[in-house]
Amino acid sequence: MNYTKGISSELEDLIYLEDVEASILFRIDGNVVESCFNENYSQELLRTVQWCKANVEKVSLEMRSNNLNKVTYELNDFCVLFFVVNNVSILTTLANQNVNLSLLSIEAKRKSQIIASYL
Amino acid sequence: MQITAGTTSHRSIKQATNAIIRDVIGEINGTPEFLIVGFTPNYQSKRDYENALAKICEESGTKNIIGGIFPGVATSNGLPTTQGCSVMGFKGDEVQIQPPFDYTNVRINPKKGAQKIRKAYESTTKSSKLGFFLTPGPFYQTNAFEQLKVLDTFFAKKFKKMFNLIGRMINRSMGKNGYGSTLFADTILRTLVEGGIKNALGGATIDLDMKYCYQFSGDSVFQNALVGTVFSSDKLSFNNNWTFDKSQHSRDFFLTEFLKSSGYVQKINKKPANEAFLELIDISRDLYDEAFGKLSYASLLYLSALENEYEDYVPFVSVCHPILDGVIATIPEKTLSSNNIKTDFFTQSGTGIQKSALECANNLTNGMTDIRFGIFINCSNRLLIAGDKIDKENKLIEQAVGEDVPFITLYSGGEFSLINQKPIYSAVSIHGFVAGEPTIDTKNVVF
Repeated sequence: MNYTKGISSELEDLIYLEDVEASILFRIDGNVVESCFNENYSQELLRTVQWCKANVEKVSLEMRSNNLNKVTYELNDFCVLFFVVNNVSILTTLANQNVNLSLLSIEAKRKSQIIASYL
Repeated sequence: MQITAGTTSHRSIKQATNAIIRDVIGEINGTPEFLIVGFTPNYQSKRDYENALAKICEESGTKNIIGGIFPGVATSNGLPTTQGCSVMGFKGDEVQIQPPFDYTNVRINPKKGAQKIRKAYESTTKSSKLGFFLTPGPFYQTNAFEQLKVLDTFFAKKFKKMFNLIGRMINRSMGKNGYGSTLFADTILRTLVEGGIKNALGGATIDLDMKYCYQFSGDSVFQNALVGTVFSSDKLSFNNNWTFDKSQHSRDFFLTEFLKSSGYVQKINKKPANEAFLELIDISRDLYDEAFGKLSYASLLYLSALENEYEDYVPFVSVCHPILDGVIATIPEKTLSSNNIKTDFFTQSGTGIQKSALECANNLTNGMTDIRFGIFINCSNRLLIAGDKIDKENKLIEQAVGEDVPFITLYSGGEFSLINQKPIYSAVSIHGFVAGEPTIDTKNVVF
């Protein structure tokens, strides 16, 4: 399996979890490496993704300076979960507000480590 | 003895099954003698689990399998997953593992389920023995609380002498096929004690939405069954133990009125239990509902612990639903023996539960060397408390049992142990067992 296909499969796994709307692997400069969306995504979701894209650099700097592995935001009725993959990539998972964040963070952490092994 | 373990995750149960067959069964040289299989509940369909088990049976060449669904599963060599499976495979003659047994009516007749365990336990004559069993977990019909409201407001108040009868009705109404909670496990443990069984470890399968839960035996998938086996050995000894996070003891209170047979508490400190409970934990109704509404209103962070004839503190979960005046507590009937029961509150924390996992694993390794494997039943509530830090618990267990020792952790809906004939039925706790060589005491000899 080539690495793009592998990463894409891991991102797709995440959107099969209950209440997850999208999973995106960002480079810290805001470029998207891979992404996966639920079939019926909304304008609000796209607006939140846009916010992630614009802020991922700032978020990653913040995470690095505070030695954080995970950061969660709540905005536009979505929960946004950032997980450090490696020095240059961040796994971002967007879910609706009903999501069980504890369970989601367990799987997102696992996925971030698997994705790191592909890069 | 050859023992392999592995964890895999995938959105498709077929892919997850293929990967686990490659990683665990493929690693065993020949046919494994026994497999413990834990799947997560996200695949939902009973047929999917049946197909997965059929594939595992076909590829492994054995039907000696027990397992079930758990919100999280993990092994010593893999991060916990909430979307996949963990398997542990055994081959070798150091430990004998009995062919699996099952009993499909355990919610209604737990004593009969206990007889199955007893029969398997007594069929081996080896010096070390431990029963291992999995049961159905908490299960509620969608309108269970509404039914309970009628019983609570009318019958329980009008006909006080009928409390215990009503309690049984309440309990029946909470689950489709008998007890909706896992209180029946306490009956199993006490029946085993009466039967002279010394050691056992068990856990309840669960889907956190509490809509269904499955148990596996061979290639069969059950919905309300007890499945189990017995580990025995002449060469190795088995240690089993349990603990919970006791680090933050907040305050004491008294259960002053309750229905014994259902664990339904009507009054705490002589006040309506629902109101008194929220006062005790110092949380507003809105905040409580926001925090625990998605989890059947079960207060996972606040554990009430009661003394019983075997232990100082045995923790139980309380369900504080807004439509009820009382509080449902997972306290077994036998524990509610007097009229005014002193109870202690413990607040759970991420670091506290990690420390308790280490404490449990350290206790297990006492008097033991060269540990071969371990099995841990860890409450799924702890999974929710710790979130992505849950893997630290397994790291600490590894630290205690040894780096290369394979173990499996199943995050359950109820944990139970029989430790030297002491029954422990508890919540938000970790129970475990390890197999290893007993340490031989060497005394200094002066010639």
